[in-house]
Amino acid sequence: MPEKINLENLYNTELKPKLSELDNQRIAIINKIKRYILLSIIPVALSIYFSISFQNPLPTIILVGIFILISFLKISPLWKEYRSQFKEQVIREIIKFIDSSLSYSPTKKISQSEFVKCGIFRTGIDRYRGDDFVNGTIGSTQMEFSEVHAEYKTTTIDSKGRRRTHWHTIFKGLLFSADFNKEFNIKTYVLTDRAEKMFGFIGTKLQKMNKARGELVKLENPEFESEFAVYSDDQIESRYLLSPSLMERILSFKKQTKKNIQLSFIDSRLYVTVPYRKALFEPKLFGEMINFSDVQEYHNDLSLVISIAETLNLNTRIWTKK
Amino acid sequence: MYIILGIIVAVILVMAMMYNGLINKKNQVENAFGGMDAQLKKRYDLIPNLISTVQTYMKHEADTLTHITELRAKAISGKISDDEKVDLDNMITSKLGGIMVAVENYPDLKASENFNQLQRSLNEVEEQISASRRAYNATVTSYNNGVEMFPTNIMAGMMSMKHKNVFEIPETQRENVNVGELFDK
Repeated sequence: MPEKINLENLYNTELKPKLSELDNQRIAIINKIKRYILLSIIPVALSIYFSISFQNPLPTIILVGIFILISFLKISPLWKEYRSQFKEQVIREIIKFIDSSLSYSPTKKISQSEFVKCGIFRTGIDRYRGDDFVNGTIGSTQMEFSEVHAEYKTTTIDSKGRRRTHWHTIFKGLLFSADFNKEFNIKTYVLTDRAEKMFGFIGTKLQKMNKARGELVKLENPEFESEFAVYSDDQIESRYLLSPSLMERILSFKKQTKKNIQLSFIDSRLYVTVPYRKALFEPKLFGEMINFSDVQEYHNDLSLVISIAETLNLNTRIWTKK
Repeated sequence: MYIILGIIVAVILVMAMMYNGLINKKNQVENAFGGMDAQLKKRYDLIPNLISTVQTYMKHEADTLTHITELRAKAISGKISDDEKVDLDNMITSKLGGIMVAVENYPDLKASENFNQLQRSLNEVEEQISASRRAYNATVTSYNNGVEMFPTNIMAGMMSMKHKNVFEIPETQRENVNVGELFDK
C-alpha cells in the first residue's frame, strides 16, 4: 500500500516534530491540573472537617466550587490553544495530504438550516454544534462536510420541585453534502431500515403507512432493501437516482464504514450522514500523542468521507448536468 | 342470530378489503405502464434531433438511421398493442446503441458540441426509461403477489385477474454507465 508508506513518511518527516511539541503542551496542562489538585487537598480536607463538625455541607460545596472554577479559568485557555494548534498543525496537514485542493476551517460547520434541509432527522433541534468544516471539489463534484452534533432537550421536575434539563442526541457525526451528478426535482430519502428488519412484512406494511416523507419505494436489490427504507414522492425519479450501480456502491460504502449511514437527495444535492459516538479529529489529553496509529485513524476517518464522491461515482458526468 | 349477522358483515368487509386491495394493485400497474410510456415518449422526441445531427456525418450508417426513423414513426402512430410497443422499443434501444458505438468512427461528429449535448440527453432518457421499467416491475411484482398469494388469490380468481410478466431489462441497459467511455475525457 503506497498510501500507507506515504502517510508514514508524512508522519516521520512533518507530523512527528509537531506532535512532540504538542505533547509538551499537553504535559504542561496535565501538570497544571495535578498542581491544582495538590493545592486544593488541604483546604478541602479542612472544609470537610468543618462540614462534618457543623453538620453543614455548605463550606465544602463552596470551596470545591471555587477551586473548580479557578482551575477551569486557568486551564481552559491552555486547552483551547493546544486544541487549535493540534487542528492547524496535524489535521490540516492530513487533509492536505489526502487532497491539497481542499480547504479546511477548524471552527466552521455546516449550518443548522442545511442540516434541517437534508430532512434525514425530523426532531426539533434545541442545540446545534459542530466543527471541522472541509470543502472543495473532487474531480467535477463540489462537496463539503463537517462534524455536527444536534440535540434536543427535555425538562423534568422531580418530587422536590427541582427543574432538570436533559440533553438528548438527535445526530452526532459527519454530515456530508455534494452536488449530485443527475438533475432531479423531487425529494428522496434513503433511511436505515429498522421496521422491516425487526418485524418482517408487517414492518413493510407499517412503513407504507408512514407518509411523512412520501411513498415507500420498494427496490429490486434485496440486500439494499434489507438495509434501507427508501421514501420518495416519485416512484420513477427515485429509481432514476438510485440506479442498480448506485445501490451497490451505497451498500459497499456502508460496509466500509460499518455505520448506519443515511442519505437524502434534495435540491440537486446528495446528503450523507455518518454517525460517530466519539468526537472526531480531537487531540488527546490523557495519553501519549506521538504515535502513528492515531494519525492513521485521523487519516482513515477523513479519507472515508472525502472519498464519498468517488465511491458513489459522482464524477461520472454523462447526463445533461455538467 | 346476531352472531350469524356479525359473521356475514365481517366476511363482506374482508372481501371488500381484498377486492379494493387488488384493484389498487391493478391500477398501480397501469399507472406504472403509463409512466414508462411517458419516458419512452421523451426518447421519441429526441430521435429526430439526433438523426438530423448525425446524418450529415454518418454516411455509412444511412440505412440504420432510416430504419430508426421508421421504427419511431410506427411507435408513435398509436395503432399498436402493448406487446408490440415493447418489441419496437427494444429494437430502437439496440439500434441507438449501435449508432452510439459507430460514432467512434466519426471524430468530427464526436467532437461537435451539439452531438455532445444530445448524447447527454439521450443518456439521461435511457436511464429514466430504465428507472421507469424498474418501477413497473416493482408494481407488477406486488400485483402478482396479490394474485397468487393466499387468501387474495381466491378473490383474484373470481375477478379473473391473471399473472403479469415483468420486464426483462436488456443487458445494454444495465451497463448504462459504460456509455461514459464514449466521452473520452
